[in-house]
Amino acid sequence: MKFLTIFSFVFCFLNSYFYGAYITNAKGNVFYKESDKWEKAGENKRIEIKPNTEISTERASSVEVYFDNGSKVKVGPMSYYKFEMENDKEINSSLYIGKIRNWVRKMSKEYKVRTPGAVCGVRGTDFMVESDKNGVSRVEVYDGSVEVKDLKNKSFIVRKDEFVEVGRDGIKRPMKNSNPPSDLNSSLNPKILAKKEIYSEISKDEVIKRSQTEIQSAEYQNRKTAVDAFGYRVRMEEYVIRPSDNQFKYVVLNTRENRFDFGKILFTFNTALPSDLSQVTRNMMSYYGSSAPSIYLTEINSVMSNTVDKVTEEGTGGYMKPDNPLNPSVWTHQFTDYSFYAAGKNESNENGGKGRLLWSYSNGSYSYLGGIRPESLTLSPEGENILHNYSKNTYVDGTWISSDDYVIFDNGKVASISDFYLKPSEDKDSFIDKLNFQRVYKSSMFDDKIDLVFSAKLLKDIGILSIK
Amino acid sequence: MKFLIYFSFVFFNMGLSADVGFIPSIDLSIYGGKYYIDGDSSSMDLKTELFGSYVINLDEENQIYPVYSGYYNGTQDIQELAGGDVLTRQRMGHTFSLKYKRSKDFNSVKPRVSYSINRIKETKDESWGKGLFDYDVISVGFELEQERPEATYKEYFDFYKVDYPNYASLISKSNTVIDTTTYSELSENAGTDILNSRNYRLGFSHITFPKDIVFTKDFSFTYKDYYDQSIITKPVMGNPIFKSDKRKDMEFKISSLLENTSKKIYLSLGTDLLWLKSNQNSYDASRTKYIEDYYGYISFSIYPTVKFNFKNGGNFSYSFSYTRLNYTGRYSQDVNGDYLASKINQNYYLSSLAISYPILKNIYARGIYSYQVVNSNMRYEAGYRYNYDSQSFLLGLEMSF
Repeated sequence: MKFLTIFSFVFCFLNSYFYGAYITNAKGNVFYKESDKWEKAGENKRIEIKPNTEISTERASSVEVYFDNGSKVKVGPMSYYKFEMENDKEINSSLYIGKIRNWVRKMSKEYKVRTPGAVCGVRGTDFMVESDKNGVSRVEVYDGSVEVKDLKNKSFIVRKDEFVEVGRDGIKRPMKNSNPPSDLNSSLNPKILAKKEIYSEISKDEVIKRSQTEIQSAEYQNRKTAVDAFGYRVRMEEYVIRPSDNQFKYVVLNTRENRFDFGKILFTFNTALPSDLSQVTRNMMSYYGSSAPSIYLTEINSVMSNTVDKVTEEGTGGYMKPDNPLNPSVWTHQFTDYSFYAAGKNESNENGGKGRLLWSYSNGSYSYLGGIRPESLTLSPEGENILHNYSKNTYVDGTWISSDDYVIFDNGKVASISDFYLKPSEDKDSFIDKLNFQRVYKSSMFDDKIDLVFSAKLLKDIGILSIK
Repeated sequence: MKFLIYFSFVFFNMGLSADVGFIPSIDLSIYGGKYYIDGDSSSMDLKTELFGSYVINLDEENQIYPVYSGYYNGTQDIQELAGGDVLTRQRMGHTFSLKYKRSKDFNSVKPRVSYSINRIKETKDESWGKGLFDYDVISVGFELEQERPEATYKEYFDFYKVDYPNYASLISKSNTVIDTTTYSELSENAGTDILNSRNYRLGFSHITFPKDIVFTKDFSFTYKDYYDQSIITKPVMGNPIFKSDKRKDMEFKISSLLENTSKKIYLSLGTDLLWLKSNQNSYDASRTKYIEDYYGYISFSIYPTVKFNFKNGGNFSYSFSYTRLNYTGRYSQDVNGDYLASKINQNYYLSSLAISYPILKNIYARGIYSYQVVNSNMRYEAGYRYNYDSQSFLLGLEMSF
């Protein structure tokens, strides 16, 4: 009898002792408290825990608790959990805040989890319990079923793929759960985590979009793209080339939908040019000083073309003329000879490929196609305030050529005088400095118009362009 | 593209497996609004955005995120660089991306691939697909993430290739139409696809959580290789106008964002510091001015936000941002276009008010008003506006499921 008593005592002692659970697979900062002292759980260590052990996890931290019957609970990040007891009939634990996932062995002991607002009781299942700081508990069931009870003992059976919430006002009806099972590898719930990943993808796309907007913007800043006076996209590329030491060539290329226009002007000077061409170009038309500039323009050859039809202008014998030969203060550029040619397909071989000579100027006298000064028409089609000029010359043989000149903003709007405040010394010509210039040539010789947009300052500086 | 098809195949086959879970997610916003610049207004137009995803949970450690995002902007975005002075710009884009995420013990690996098409109509002769600035992007990359008690760390690398199918240098188109002398003078070393680029972005993020605050710091470096854009040189007799070297840009960016975690009042303060270094120059042919380091700049932005969240799910927010941009090589010009000794700087001030109100489950009515002032020491504005006010208002619906 004595032996039996001792045996029963030892058995009961060992029974309760060996029902002790253990924690393992601690990740991050996991702490447990068996008496009064919190201790940190080492990673990959197996630590036996006694009933009433409290476990606390920080951000990005988790730990697993194994029970004697093979059931397991994983305590997720930022959670506070208490293992209360395990005996041959039941396992009891509490979750105060955070999230736990429970894998309960089937046909085993009763397994209970309490939260501040709910009690979950099961026999064999896989479920997650969450308790937030507002006292709301959420139970998601991934396998089997769980009975969830609120503090007023109202209960529901929550089945696989359902969840239930228990708030301060009691338990709600179970609903379909769209959250997938989570291994509590993040502090965020799967839906928020999914949104985060989606937005991260979208933000990568935004970074690329922003940098492309910047590239496109630089094209505008560089004045490589604009809208013409008719609302069509026109691309402009302008270049300066140095064919020889006393020359430079300005080239402008234009494309629009289904058309290509270009212009080129070869400038020839009396002597070698400095590397900074702006020192020369700003004084090409007029020069202030008592003596003539040492560098001046002697020849010019300009071509504007739509690749088939073309207009050619040629000036030679350039020199700087003083305002007063005895006491000069301003020098103005002049050519002794100047010629204007135009050619369609049929005239392209005339005058060495320059086209038909329409008018020329030599040492003060003009000559015209057909020997008679053409009939000239000059208009401001949209009124004096709008910077759109039209002129047409009709020669005695019926040949005609017209030009429409527009001063336009880059968005295609034709400038008006009221768009600018002109200083007393400024005239309409100063608009050309600021904006784009569009010239449209039409002629009885052409198959198509020549339509060229360019930033016209250089051409104005040398006197090719002028708006009156 | 092959990779995308393969991924799609895997994705659909996985969808047949019984244990695979899905998280559908859709965000749709539809707005009507107007855009004003210096008093000129655009016509009323639509602005819509759609983000859709169907996250596939292969198991607890493996997920696939197929994401579609699309947008149509009939009216300009306030932050869009308005200087181009185009009021009628219409944009649309579609991005398809696929991301795989494997996570275990607070560590994640996320390889990704995406393909994006962006279409822009600015003028009346441009139709969808024929816009000068249409571009396509193919991108691959990966991200590593480690969540730790003290911080979250992210390292990422992305490669993206940008193609402008409708943009080619005009020189490349002038071969048969201008005289051979001029063509040969222009074309030596000149490229064709001058806006196309290959980009390599490497970055690191560090996120800490002191008290109830989330503090994100991010550093990224992007190397941009404009493989067909030749370097512009000063015109010198006997030398071509382009070098054989190609344009290379390097972008360094440091960002920080402080956010509180309060559900009632959200406060945030962000800053960005960006330095773009480029070897490309420019030549202003109309003023015969050579400008070295035309594209380089340093910019700094600061942007606080406050948002009040209502109990019914609605919210009211105010945000402000200030950006200062200093070009390192680009000279400012006076109103007539004459170059000055100073370099261009720009200031952007943007204020936005937004209100959101729930009208049905997951559906919100939303209104946004934004006002922006931009000023600069650049006074020459023939081709591009550097000084302007712009405003936009948008009214519409947002849906989130």
